[in-house]
Amino acid sequence: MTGIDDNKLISQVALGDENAFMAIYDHYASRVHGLTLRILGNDMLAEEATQDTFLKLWSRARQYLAEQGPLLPWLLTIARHVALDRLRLETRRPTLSDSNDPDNAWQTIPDLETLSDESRWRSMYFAVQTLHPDQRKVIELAYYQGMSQSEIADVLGWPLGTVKTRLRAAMEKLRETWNET
Amino acid sequence: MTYTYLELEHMSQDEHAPFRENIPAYAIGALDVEDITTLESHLKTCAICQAELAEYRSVTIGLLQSAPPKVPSPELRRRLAARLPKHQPQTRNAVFSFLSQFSIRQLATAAIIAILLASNLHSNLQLRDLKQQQAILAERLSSEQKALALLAYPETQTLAVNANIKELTGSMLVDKAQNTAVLFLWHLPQLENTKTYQAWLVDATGDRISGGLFNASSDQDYTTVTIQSPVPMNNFIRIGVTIEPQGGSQKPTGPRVLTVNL
Repeated sequence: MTGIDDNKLISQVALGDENAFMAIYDHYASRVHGLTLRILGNDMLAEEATQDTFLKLWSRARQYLAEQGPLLPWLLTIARHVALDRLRLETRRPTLSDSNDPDNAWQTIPDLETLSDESRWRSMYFAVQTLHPDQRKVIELAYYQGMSQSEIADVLGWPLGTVKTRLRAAMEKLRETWNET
Repeated sequence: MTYTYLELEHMSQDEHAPFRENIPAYAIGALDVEDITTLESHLKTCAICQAELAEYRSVTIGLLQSAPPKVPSPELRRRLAARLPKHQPQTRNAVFSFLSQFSIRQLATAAIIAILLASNLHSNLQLRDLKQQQAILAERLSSEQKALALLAYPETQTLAVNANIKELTGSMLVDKAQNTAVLFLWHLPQLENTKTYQAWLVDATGDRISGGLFNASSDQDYTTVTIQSPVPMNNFIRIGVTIEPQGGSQKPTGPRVLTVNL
């Protein structure tokens, strides 16, 4: 789907067009559900999070600004926040202060013009898989479980300094991969 | 203030390292709360770290999109369609709701009227300022013309100013036949808005009448003040200047700035 189609559809959703909304759902539901499932690891919880994500899209469509970038990263950022909130609820972990507001999605999405090439994020998936297992653990817990470095150190029983070192090394490798692709 | 790359070249690696090493964790959302404020303060002023953060945030977006797609159950689509509110919720604030009842043409007309009103107000304020400046310049020109006229008159006396303020110096030209005096004062201090200088004409018994109010010149080092006496200048033995409340006083109440013996 092109950016132009997305923009047209989302502007129709902002006007209350259910058909446009379902068209977006049909195109992106698998991407959103893939992310919520990866975070929550449970199909039922993931479907609930996917549903909540699209309900937020329905209610917040007017807040989407096409000039700030493509729809998909915005939608996935909302999905991550929704799923991490649900995860914290399930695991009784504290909620992060910025996790509820989809407006915050804009602040964390950089350089959106370069993100349309799907081969780049596919290569990122393989880059994560090929990290050293200890580094991969840290990335998984930080990004897909929403843990801070101290929480990761507690969960894995590693010294905080070790967590910091491994996270930095992992991010540096991922950055190299991202810049090469 | 944001440092340029050139300026940051002078920042040693030791100074920079504690911040840079936290950027990957910050980008991925894993930096502990107690370290976030310090890093965010540094980021506001460091172009290099801002650029590095942007790169790491791109990585997090890559991670965001790297989860393998998974098609949800068909039931979710039906549930979602059933749960959609019939009307798009109005999530904008009351201002947006209020504005939405007007057409674009009405809003555009209102905006143009508002711009014109604001522009008119701005022009009026500028005009008022210009008139004030014009009045000040006209008053100064008048004083200086009188001073020149007095200088050229054979009966004019030049008298010394006895200043009570450090660095204040000056002299006074007096033409008693014309009941006119002009003060030339160098380095007369500016007063706050609630105060003014007031000249006094003092007779032999110590009685005083006001010789007028004036302010220090704001754009040049000297101030010229014309004092026109309503009665013969010979009635007076001294001219004084005090600091008084804005609007002046019936008799001197503030500190004396200078005196000139006639």
